[in-house]
Amino acid sequence: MDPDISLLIPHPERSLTVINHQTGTTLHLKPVKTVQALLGVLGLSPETVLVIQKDGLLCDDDPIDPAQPVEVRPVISGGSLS
Amino acid sequence: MKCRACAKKAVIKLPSHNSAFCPECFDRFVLSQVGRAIDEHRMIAPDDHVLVAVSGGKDSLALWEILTRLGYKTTGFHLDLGIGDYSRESRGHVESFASRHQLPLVVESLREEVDGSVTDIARATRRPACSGCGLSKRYFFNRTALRTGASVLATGHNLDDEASRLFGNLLHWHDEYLAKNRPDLPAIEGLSKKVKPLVRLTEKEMASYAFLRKIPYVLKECPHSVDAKQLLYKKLLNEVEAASPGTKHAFLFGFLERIDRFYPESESPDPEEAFLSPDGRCERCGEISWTPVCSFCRLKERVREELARNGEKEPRPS
Repeated sequence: MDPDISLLIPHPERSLTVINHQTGTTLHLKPVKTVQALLGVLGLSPETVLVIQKDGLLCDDDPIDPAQPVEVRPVISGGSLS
Repeated sequence: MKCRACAKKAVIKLPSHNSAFCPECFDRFVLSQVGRAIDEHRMIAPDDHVLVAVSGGKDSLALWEILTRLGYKTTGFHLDLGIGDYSRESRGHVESFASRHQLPLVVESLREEVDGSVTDIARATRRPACSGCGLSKRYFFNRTALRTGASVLATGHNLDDEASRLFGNLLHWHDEYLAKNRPDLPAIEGLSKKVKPLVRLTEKEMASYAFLRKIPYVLKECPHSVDAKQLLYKKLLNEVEAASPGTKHAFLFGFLERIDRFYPESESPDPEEAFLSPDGRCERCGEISWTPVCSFCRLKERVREELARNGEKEPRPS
């Protein structure tokens, strides 16, 4: 093969796995770079969720590793008196 | 983002405090906020015995852990609401926590006491499930506090709970509730002192604390709370908070600074139910009551009547 010829081999689009244990849902999204961007895609306020990856809490401007699943954990509860 | 206290990597950003903290500094922040709430409102004395109402959620379990770390003598109290998997999971977390930390725990069953489910209570009272559930919790908390000799009853209400409650009470001008919209209610004869030591901390802060301290808690929401108005009020307040950090705190604590002026004890809109001591006891259960039969015994009666009217011997599943 001519060493100057390169082939573009299409590969399946990568996706970011987002898990919500409260609702039992798992989403596969187009990867985003930061927590802030992820919350923007999901339409969530940072005050209302924890974002967890690799057993650690992430801040708004932290990068997201697209190869690892992300847990989005809602923190708002209502109707309880204790 | 770096921790504002030590410059390590931050794991939580607190726009309302213009801060961000690493796990160790955030832990100190939480303990200091709880200590400040206890001191400012004289919630708990060093020799008090505190009954902690634990639902199995993040706030109440974290509160129990924090009070224990601060050196207070505590007993946990859990009311099993009998709401299917939600209650089984909640009770499991509470019992595991008590066992792991070797702390005393009292568990009561609403279904056994009322002989009906939360759904039966809602249908019998023609009110939302949260209403009958709240009434029952208040009854059991008081009864258990007196039986265990606890001098203080602590609940895990946080800043968001209290701000959203205030918001709802103001929207409807519920004067009788606004007068009691405070993190400390004094003891009166037959009823325990009630305190809310997490009043300075948001839900996000409490969830972060529970996560960082590795406190397992029930992630599910109570199936009956899906339509709770409080969720709507919290959502609205969080939208304002996102645009203007610190608003929730200013809203609640601004009110608390003025509450004695707005609702002085002597001019309480409902003095009999505000801070004055009742002088009677329920003729059925013997617990403190302003009426011959207390509201909880009346609730039990209504559930029995409802089940009999429908020809049902067994409570409906919740």
